[in-house]
Amino acid sequence: MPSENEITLGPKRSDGWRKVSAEVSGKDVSHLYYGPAKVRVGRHAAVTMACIGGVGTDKQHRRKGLARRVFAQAVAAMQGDGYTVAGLFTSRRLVAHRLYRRSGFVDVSSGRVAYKVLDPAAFARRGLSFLVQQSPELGRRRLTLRLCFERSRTVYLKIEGNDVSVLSRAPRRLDLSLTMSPTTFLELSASGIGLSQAVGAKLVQWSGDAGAFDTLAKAIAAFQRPVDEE
Amino acid sequence: MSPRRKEMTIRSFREGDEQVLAHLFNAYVSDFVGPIRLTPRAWRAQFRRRSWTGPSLTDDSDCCRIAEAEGRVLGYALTDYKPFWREDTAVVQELCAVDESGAEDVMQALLADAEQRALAREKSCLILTLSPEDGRSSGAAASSGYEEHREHEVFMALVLDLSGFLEEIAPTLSARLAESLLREWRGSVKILSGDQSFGLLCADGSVTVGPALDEPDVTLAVRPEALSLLLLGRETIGELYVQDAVSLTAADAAEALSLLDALFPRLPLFLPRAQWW
Repeated sequence: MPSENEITLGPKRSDGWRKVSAEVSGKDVSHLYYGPAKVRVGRHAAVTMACIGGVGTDKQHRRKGLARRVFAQAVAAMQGDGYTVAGLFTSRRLVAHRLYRRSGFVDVSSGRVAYKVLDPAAFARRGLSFLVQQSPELGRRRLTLRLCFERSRTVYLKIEGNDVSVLSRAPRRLDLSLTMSPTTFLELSASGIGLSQAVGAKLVQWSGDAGAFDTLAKAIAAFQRPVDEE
Repeated sequence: MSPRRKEMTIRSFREGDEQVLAHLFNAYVSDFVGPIRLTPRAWRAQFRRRSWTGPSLTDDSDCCRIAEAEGRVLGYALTDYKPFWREDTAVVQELCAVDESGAEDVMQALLADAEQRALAREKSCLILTLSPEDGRSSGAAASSGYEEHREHEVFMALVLDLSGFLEEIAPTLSARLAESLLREWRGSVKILSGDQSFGLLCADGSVTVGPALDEPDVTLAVRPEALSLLLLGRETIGELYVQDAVSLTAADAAEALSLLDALFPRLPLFLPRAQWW
């Protein structure tokens, strides 16, 4: 565990960015970067904000208070550099969000997006293929699925031998039927939430074989983005 | 289909278009983030080369599609067909149209055009990023069959130095006072938050920032956790007042509230894409 003086503030680069890091046995295990960006406050004022990015702590060094100390050192360094305001993008799902809030940062704005699935079959196939790549267990099992996206047509798919194929019609034997919005599917297949969690939140309706559901839920859980990533 | 839609054509970006597109962008965004004056050069610079925040118009002028009729630009859509985070999607990053009747038709046509181009590039999903306050793009997306979703991503900020920040935004505070019904108000305001304090002196429609006076006309005490919310335009003084996050001492509390509402309105920060990273 490094002592306070082992949190180091890197030199200012030509573009104004700096690195703040904690080292253990000479190895950088927790760090962040900050640098200048102009933000407008109304029509007549542009303020140079310290933008924070690249926040990360090695997995084996998390939950030791390192990120908190790096962050505190960085905030002090930003004040020393003359910044009057600091900002960062993060996710409310990350533990780091709580760290930032404890440090006084407030949620200023959250994003909105609108989705349209242009090709439901390709969309579903791509998402499931990603899952199969991440979870070999899923690829070892033969599964037939019915995926129904709101406002889009239903897609039938088959997972077999690490391959995902789109079926032209409903298979004779269907293992699992899932109905969800495209955004939920994106979250499930990309990183966001677990399948059981999504069912609990009524984001997904399902019917079919419980074993097939478990296999899919485990596959998604296996690669879910850790909430303490930062 | 409106008469204009029949006349409207959509074409790709050409160098020089940034003159009119920056103007259109400023007018569009100003509706919900307050007055913005991004120069044509600054607008163009955002898309000079490919970055994780956007496409390169230098390499692919098709990324920006412009709707026009009779030589007049009606709107544009800027789409990233190669977002780094998901290869089967395309992301419409900016969708702007002139503020007049038929604008939704223009936006819908631009979205339909982006969809066709996304499909041609074998993208299975089109995503439209929306500013939280942008109701016009939101309406056009809903009419075009898009499903809206609030993301868990969030922009967070902290005011590190109260006095320094107020000094930096003093020109904006002056403009806000001058444009308000209280432009004739003369007096001093003391802002206290944690161990920080500072003063505003209002006179002749202008605001001067300096050390707090001992006997100000208005004293505003703000809980430290609420200070950034107020100064960064996230919550109004009235909203914080009912949450018991601020307390106000003034001879005329209603007038003081109006004054502080004028100086610190609910207005999101504007962060040009090119400035980030």
